[in-house]
Amino acid sequence: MNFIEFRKELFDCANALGCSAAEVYFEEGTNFNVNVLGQEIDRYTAAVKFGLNLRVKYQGKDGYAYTEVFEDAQTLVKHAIDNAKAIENEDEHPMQGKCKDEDVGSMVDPFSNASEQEKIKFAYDLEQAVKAKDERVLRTSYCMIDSGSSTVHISNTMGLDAKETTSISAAILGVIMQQGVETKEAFAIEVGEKAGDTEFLVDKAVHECLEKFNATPVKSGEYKVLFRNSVMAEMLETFWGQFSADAAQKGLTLMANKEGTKVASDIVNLIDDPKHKIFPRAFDGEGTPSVTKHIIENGVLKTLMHNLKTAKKANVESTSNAGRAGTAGAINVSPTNMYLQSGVKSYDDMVKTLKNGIIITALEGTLSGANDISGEFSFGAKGLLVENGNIVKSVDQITVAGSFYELLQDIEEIGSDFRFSTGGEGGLFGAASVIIKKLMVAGE
Amino acid sequence: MVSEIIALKVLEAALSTGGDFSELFFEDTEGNNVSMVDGKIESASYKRSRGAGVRVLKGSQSGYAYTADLSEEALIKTARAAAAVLNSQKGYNSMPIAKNRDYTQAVKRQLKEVENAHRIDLLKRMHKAAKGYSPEISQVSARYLDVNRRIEIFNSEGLHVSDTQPRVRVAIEAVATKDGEAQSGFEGPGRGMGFEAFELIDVEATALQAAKTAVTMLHGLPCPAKTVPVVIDGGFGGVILHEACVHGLEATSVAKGNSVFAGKLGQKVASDIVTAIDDGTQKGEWGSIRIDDEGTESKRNVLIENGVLKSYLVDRLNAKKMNHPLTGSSRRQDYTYAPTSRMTNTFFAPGNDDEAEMIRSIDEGLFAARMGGGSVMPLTGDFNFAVAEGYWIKNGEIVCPVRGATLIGRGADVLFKIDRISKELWHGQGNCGSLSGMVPTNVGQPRIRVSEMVVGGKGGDI
Repeated sequence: MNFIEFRKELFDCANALGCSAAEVYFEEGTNFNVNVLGQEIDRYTAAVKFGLNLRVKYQGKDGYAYTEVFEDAQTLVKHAIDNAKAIENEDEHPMQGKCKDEDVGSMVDPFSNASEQEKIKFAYDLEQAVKAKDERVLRTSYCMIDSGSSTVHISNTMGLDAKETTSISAAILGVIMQQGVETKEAFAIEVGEKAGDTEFLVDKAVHECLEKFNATPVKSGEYKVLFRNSVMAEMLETFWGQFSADAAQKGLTLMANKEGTKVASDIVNLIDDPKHKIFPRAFDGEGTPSVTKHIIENGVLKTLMHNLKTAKKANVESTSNAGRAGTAGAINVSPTNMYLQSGVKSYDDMVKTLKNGIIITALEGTLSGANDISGEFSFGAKGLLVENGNIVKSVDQITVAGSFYELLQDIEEIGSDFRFSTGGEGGLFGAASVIIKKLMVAGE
Repeated sequence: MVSEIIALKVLEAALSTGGDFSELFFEDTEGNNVSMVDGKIESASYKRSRGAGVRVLKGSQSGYAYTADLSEEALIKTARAAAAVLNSQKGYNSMPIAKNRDYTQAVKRQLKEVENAHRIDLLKRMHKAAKGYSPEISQVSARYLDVNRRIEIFNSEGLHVSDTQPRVRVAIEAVATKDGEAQSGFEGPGRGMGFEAFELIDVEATALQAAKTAVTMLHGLPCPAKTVPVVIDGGFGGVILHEACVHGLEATSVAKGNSVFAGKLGQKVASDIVTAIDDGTQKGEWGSIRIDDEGTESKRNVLIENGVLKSYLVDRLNAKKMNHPLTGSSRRQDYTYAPTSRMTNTFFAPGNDDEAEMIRSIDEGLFAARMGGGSVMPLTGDFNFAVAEGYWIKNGEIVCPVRGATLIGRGADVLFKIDRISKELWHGQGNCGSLSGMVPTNVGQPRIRVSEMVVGGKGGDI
């Protein structure tokens, strides 16, 4: 059975079994991934995937059932109804109706028209380029192109029919270098335009790897810190949940009820923009047309991130931040393209402004060392020690600890070296380098 | 899930470009998820995922293609897509396919027969227990999940096996708040068995522990940033072995020389009292498997014995490269990943030391009663983990709870610094992420002491 036929069966069955509405979130796509090593294909993956998530409204409650098998509509509908019957939470979650979507354009994908052979050649050339760049390069740990396209189609019995195809490519270069007795590794991971820029990838990976040699810890204590652009982006990726209206309504974030109050220093502007050209989408995970918004404007919390359920409860409009935890998941709140607005100082000027402190170039353990509830964090880190405005040595085997809430208020300077540097299927996170008044560092 | 005749066609289509090995992996998995917030069921979902993956190997090269369409035509197409990694014209034949050996075992309480009411009952009991622990508990979230994973594997050496792998788990997060501050506690016990697992898992005790962690941390001081001795309690404390050591023993990194433990078989890598094991054969445990995702039977692998490195964890592809016997360690999250060497249930073997003495004999240090997760870079062995419930030790006694502690170090060093291992071993459950996706693993140990570790935190001296 194909999708259209199966969907009709699902909707008819849901109606017959007493559901007031039904919605199907269907995703299909292809993916290609190649990793080369020693000028040979090391690993290669080709994929065709599809999945369908059914949501039914039964006596006012939502139940979900997901399948990759387009057979037996009745059983799937019954699973979904069973799940709807189990719900006790009384918050209403409206379904989106018919919408007009903007043409948001598509992201730059340097490999969108490339054949598999061309992608493989790019990876071979990338490996040769990085080996030629510096004689200390031993080998690559990853020299990979990942390229895919995915079509999302959300439709329901209330008239919603939203469909969009996105194609995204990433280049992942991991370089291993040896100097004396030390071996170090660094990565350059890019999506969009830069994924096709061999020189950029090679320069970044090699430069960041060289920064790691002869690293030693610093003495434990409080330091003024510069979070490099990708590190600040990773902080946003770790703590975006503080701004979820869903978390706020459940008492799981300290940002609850803080709209209109000052939560960060004056120079902080935090924006969530699903239409940003880095990765534009026309609608969110429940079909609401995309909205660009300030989460924080000049230090003041303007809005949390909402989907239709949280918006109804808070008596506001959805901010088009509905997401799904994978195709199989229930509707939740997710960021899209979230970024800290750039400043005007160049990175080199930022280092001079720092004067005495530590540049943090990498964080480790962000998945485990962050406390979502308190906003506190304690991460492993690597960096560069700055004295009198000059980088004097490489630092590692240290931790940095603090509170995300204090950090926002302690941002003193924002640079102009803005990049989107991390993220996932929902969207990307970006920032420029920032100087933070103080953080606790553990070392020697 | 497919006839032996079609399987043979697929395996040979995969070998048509000169591969020396091909494999066809089927998966049909059903699962249920229920979540409760603030005592009320918030969402419930059912999932069925079904698909197949074809792998082709030649020497150290591998190609993989997968599909959710299981028609013969789609499978052959998938096999050709995987075979496209190579470009020889010469094809090979597959060995004839054996009759299926099914490893499925009877389960006391089939997941298919479990209803939402049974799942919800567990969550309600957990919520009640956690909320009742203290008026400072402001919020409780609880989740239930079950998975019934059916797999069938064919390969060009004639292998044909299948298995059914049930898993269940509950997780609870308790939040304690006071004067604008908040702290949390988390527990997530699980088993590789049917619903009868809840005769073994005490859900109320689990909930009380999560609540205790939250309230204790609420009254804790920020952990000092210092290098000190650290005592790590048993159970989930075994995350130190998982991150600091065993990720670096997976052939995924070792085969390419990208691990700090590469080339060290037979060498001393830890103190004399350390014996570390990965055992996939333990019946009913969260990380256990009867066969791995290449069809190899699981084993009890002694990785380190009395401080000496004895074994790595390998998969077929890397076993050949490394000339290492198979260890039954090849795993993948689902059919959308090619398999590679992973852990099952890892733990430090019990020792002889006294749990109380290892704290009494410290001037100043940290007692990590409960650990959070962590991560590692296998090439350098740099690791980190979070302490979920910590206490500061002074003059041999616990003086106060401390929060926000992180432990960092290097795998190659820290194992030599383990100077105490106690007698009673127990396990915690987790989900491990790596090249072949997320797989369920146990981490376990008795209480141990590390003579010196860098402890990160934002507090001053205590």
